[in-house]
Amino acid sequence: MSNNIMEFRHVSQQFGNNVVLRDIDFEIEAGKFYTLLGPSGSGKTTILRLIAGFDQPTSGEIYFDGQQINDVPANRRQVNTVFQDYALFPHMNVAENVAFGLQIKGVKKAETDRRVKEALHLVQLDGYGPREITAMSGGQRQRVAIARAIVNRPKLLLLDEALSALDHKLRVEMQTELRQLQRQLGITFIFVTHDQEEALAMSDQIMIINDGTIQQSGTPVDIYDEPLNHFVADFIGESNIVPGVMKADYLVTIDGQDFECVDAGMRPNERVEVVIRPEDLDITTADQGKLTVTVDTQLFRGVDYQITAHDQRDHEWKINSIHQTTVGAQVGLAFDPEDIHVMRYNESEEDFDARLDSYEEDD
Amino acid sequence: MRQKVIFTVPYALWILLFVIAPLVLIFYQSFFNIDGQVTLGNYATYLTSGVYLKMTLNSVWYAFLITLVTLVISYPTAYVLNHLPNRQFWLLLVILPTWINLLLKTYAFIGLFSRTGTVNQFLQFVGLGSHQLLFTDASFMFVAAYIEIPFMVLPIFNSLAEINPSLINASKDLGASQWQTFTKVVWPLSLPGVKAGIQAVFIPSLSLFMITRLIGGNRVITLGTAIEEHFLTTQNWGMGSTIGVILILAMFIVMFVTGEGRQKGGTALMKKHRFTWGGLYLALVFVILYAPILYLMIFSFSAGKTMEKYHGFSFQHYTDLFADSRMITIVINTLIVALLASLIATIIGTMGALVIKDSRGTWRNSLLSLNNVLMVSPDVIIGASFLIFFTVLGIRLGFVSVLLSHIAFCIPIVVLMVLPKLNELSPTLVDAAYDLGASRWQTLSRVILPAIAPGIFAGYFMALTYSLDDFAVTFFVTGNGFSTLSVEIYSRARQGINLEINALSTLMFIVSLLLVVGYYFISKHSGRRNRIVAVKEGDAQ
Ligand SMILES: Nc1ncnc2c1ncn2[C@@H]1O[C@H](COP(=O)(O)OP(=O)(O)O)[C@@H](O)[C@H]1O
Ligand SMILES: [Mg+2]
Repeated sequence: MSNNIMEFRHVSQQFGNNVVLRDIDFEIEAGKFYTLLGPSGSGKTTILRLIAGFDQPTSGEIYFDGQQINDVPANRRQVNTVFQDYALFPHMNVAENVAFGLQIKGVKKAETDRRVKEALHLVQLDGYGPREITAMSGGQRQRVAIARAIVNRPKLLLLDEALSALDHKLRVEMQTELRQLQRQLGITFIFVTHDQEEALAMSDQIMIINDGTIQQSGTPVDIYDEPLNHFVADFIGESNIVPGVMKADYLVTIDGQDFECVDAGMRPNERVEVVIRPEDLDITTADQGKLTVTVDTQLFRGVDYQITAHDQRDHEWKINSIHQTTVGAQVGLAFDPEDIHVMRYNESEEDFDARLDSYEEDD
Repeated sequence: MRQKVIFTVPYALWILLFVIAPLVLIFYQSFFNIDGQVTLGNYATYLTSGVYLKMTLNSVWYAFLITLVTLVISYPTAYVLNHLPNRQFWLLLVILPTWINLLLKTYAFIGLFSRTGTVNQFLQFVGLGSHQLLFTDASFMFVAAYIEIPFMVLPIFNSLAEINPSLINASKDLGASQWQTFTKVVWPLSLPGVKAGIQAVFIPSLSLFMITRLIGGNRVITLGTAIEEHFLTTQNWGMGSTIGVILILAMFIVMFVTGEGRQKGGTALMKKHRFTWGGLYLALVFVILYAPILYLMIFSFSAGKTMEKYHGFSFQHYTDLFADSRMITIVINTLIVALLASLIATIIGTMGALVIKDSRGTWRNSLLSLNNVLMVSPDVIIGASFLIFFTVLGIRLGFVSVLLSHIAFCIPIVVLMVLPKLNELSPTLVDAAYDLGASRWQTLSRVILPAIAPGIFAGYFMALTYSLDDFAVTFFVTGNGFSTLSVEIYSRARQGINLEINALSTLMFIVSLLLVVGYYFISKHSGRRNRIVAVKEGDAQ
């Protein structure tokens, strides 16, 4: 409880008959960088709007610093938002935009000026204060929006698809800067995106949301290495997902062929799904591989080749390899037991965590 | 919540008192005969005596012809305009004449068309002889079409400008000829503008009475003249209201047939074409649009007493005008009414726009429809129904009734100018203000109002011009003691040519021009304000 700045308890949101959020529960620890990741329409913005106070939940409680804040209006919450479309006031220049929140609070002119300058410095916009918003580029507007929010020293900063409107190069640059800024200021960030690479690159913690429910939360590495279910495995990174049967602890069968793995805690002979990441598959000769496949396509992507192949049972395999192969060739696929991740059908996040704890303690 | 109530009350009162009540009253009044007894007799008379039916048919026929003529002239005009470089400027030139008081333009034709007037002099000169032009159907229709052309050009121009140029290229790419492209792509896509134009021209044409009286004489009788006569001459309000109800029905039919007209500015790419024939045509349209105005101005400097022959340069009529204390008083009255009415209408209208913006679904649609009732109603109906309304309430006709009427018909104009700006405002902008700690009032005063200021300003300005220009409504609700410029010009024009009016119209034209220039300057300037400040601060650093 001590370090939690924000908490949702059984929060649901409904617009008319349309249930947008179902029983959302989470806790946000102070000082960390959180990312809400999910496909568009999954309810991410709705969650942010509840946190900011633009909407009230249909049911459930929202806590901020230990206080229930369901009925506290947006203008009295210590939360600031960086909007997806920036929402910069078009009739004010950069400095006036950044100063807005301070002026509303009645902060003295001298102090306002100083803090505006400081905030613009933090987002590397020194000297841009007198510029019109229309004279700023997309990336610069983005920074103004961030400066306008952080100048108020909120306890929690919400960023809704903050980088989505930028082109790729600028976006990657801003990712690093945002992360640095968050460390420097020590403000808790909740960042919303539908871009999984962005989420993996920036976050301390990721919450994956789909269809109004949180699917899995954890560190980027946890989520990437140990996805809870088909949706998460598919949404985060590329993956080969094939059905299998868990014969015993640490032994899984795919299409009648046994493989050693590092998963345990399931019922004997339970039907499961097996995930192997394309970059964990190595191409060798047909006789050395654990699986034999025929290469169908090969695309050069700069860093590596993206290869698709099929096995005897017509399962398709995606392979990322730095070595070239030949379309039509029969090759072997090699991988280690750690490269296999086994998922149970319909396992809840608590059960999943408990199971992992149980056998990882054994080790 | 309190804010919402404060905004809703004045606007709701306006809807109740000046939109719903007058309509109900005119309907109610139509069931009374001249002696104040309840009766269906008015409707019976209307349906059985051939006079009224014939008059209705006549009106519809005239309105149809006027609309047709206007459309035939306006469509090519809009089309050619749309292909010109600097087309917004040329469009402005087409619209500019609407800023000249309606009465003055009509008055110009009295001079042009008179027995010994300029047109007849020209006809005689080319050997066609002199003809009776004034007080004929043809002259009536010509003047009506002249007045309405800009109102038809504007919506058509806008819908043409909205057409994506790639569509035209696509059509040509797919093998369509210029003509096929026009009939199969351009024309169907510009239909919304055509419909909006028809709506804007047909309904007022049904109920014209000022032009009818001044140019058509007593030969042309329309629904408009009939209503005016029953209300203001024979005092048979019941019969007048009955005709009014018929006119309202006709209006709804037209609106139903032509659908909801859209009016929106476009930003399609400019094309640089040279249309020699098109250019010639356009030049002709401009000559027709501006000739009467120039004609008035030229004769204002004539030493003579008529608009037939120029008698040498003189400021005589200007001296007369400034010595005419009655006229000066009326000018001041007109200005006071216009400034006050548009100010109050701007305040209430802005509140109304905020209320509409916050409303949803059918409620919003009803509010919008109610808002637009006074925009689409013929002036005679507004005038007549307000007259009944003021009489019922016991409000003496004069300054107060004129002011109230002007406020009433200006409010929807302001709403229509402000609402698009509000809709353009990103909803997250308001959220952002709350997010940064602003209260509802602070959000309104610091974010919403400044952001929609251009709309509010334009609304005030439009209201001002509508008020300055209004004749018909004022004519009904002004008593004997009080007069505005339009009403005064009307009564003077009915007595014949008076070059003092020419002097006045020259001055008014210059004022209108200055207003337009001022409007453009201020609307540009308001956007540039911060930039100027920015440059100064930048220099200081
Ligand atoms: N005010 C609203 N009224 C009705 N439905 C809404 C409203 N806001 C969001 N929704 C619906 O809720 C769902 C989730 O929306 P949102 O939270 O914006 O998704 P995301 O931000 O993840 O793309 C969508 O299906 C959307 O249509
Ligand atoms: Mg969203």
